[in-house]
Formats: sequence, C-alpha cells, structure tokens
Amino acid sequence: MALFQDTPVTLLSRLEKCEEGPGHQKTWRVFFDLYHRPVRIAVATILERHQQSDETLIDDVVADVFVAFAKAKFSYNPDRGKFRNYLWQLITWKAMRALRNLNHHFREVEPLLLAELVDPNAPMPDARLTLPEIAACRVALLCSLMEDVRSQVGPQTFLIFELTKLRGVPPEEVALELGVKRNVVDNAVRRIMLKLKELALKPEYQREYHENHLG
Amino acid sequence: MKTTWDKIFDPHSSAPLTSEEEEQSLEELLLAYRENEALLSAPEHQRLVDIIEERLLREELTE
Repeated sequence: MALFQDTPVTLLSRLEKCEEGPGHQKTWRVFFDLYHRPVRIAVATILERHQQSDETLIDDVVADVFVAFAKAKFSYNPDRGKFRNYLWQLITWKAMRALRNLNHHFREVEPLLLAELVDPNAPMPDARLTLPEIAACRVALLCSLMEDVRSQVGPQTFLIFELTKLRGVPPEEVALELGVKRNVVDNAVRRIMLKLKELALKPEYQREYHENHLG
Repeated sequence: MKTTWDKIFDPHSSAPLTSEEEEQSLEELLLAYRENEALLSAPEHQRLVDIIEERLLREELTE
C-alpha cells in the first residue's frame, strides 16, 4: 500500500475525494463555475417534462444540487460509473424532490432514486442527455480541462496562452508587454497544448469524453 | 463527426497535432472559454452563488 496518496490533479479527481473543509469549499465553487450551465439545463429539462418552468423553482433545485456537493454529502465514486451519470442522477433526485413538494404523485418515486444514489455498489444508469445538455457538458469538460491546465503550469505560461490564444492579442505584443522573447511566447503555447493532451489522457477525462455523445 | 478533440483525447494517438488541427482545437476551446466567461459575469450566476452560500451558512449554524 502506498504511504502517500497521489495528489488529485484534476477537478474531477478532487470531487472524488471530496471532504468537508476549506479545500472542498474551493473545489465546489470551481465546480459550480464550470458546471452551473449543464446542471441548470438538466434541471430545467426535467421540470419542463412535468409542466414546471418557474425560474425560481429551477434556481432552487440548482442550488440544492450544489449545496449537496458543497456539503460533501454524496461523494462521487468512479467505480459506479461516469461522473456525468452520477451528476444526472443527483439532479434527477433533487428535481423529483422539488416536484414531490408540489405534487404528491412523486412521493413513491423518490425513495427508489435515493436508494440508487446512496447505495455504494449500485451501478449508475447512463444519463440520457438532450442535445443542449450534451453541448453544455462538452463546454464544461473543455473548461474543466483548461482550469486543470491553469493549475499545473506557471502563471506566466498560462498568461501568455490566455493573451495570445484566448484573447487574440498578437504574440509580438504579448512578448513586448511581458518583456520576453518571441520564442518564449511560442514555447508557452506549445507547452500548454502538450499539457492539455497529457491531462486529457487521465482516466477521469477518458471516462467522461468517450463512450457518450460527447465524443 | 470527429473533431480535433477526438485526437487530443485519443489514448492511442501519439502523433502531434498539425498546425491546422491545433488551430481548430484552440478555436473550440476559445468558444467554450468565452461562453463560460459570459456566464460567470451574468448577475444570475452571482445570485445563485449567494443563495448557495446562504444555505450552507444556515445549515452550518443549525448543525
């Protein structure tokens, strides 16, 4: 047995090891910033199927999902399946709970969903995502990858990449502004591309990218 | 449809990206980055953060 566990390098692996405390507080906020949109789309889709489209209700359910994360009540276990399936299940459960509060018909459904969610051995069913959900998941996954790259390279390297490739500042201007040679700018971009590829090959990203409509 | 990202995420692909592929992947990354950035600056986003933080604080106080 290893004396020291590997430091989780990706957001998804940090969520797997979620524990209460300041570190997790930071993780849930980063997670919220990246996954707010797919979660909101999924919540709205479920509620709309049951003729509920009230924005306040949608906000309440979205907040419920992230409070559950922030409180680390439902740790994600990759042995049970992909992260997005876990997320979809949690969203479904929270949405059903909200619907139950509006309509007694849902009282019988919730215990079944809850049992699946908290049973550590139960495999999670594949999420049946709509096209807007798939698109939002893809954006979240790419932004998550970018966020992980940011935490793995020096601040100047990322700044160069951000300025040249994400904000469209000409490389010559970036070099001048930062007081570095032009080849430093080119090398920074190359390093980030290599890092993107390196992180994309991590199992947690492989799980999420492949075998779904994301790929 | 296959995209350049399929190559980036492909564990069996050791070939480096061509300049054109690199530009394509950066283009998609840029769109994702901008889309997310616009979302983060929307007032609804901050309002939801406030709701979540308030709930967390309330739960902490009642525990």
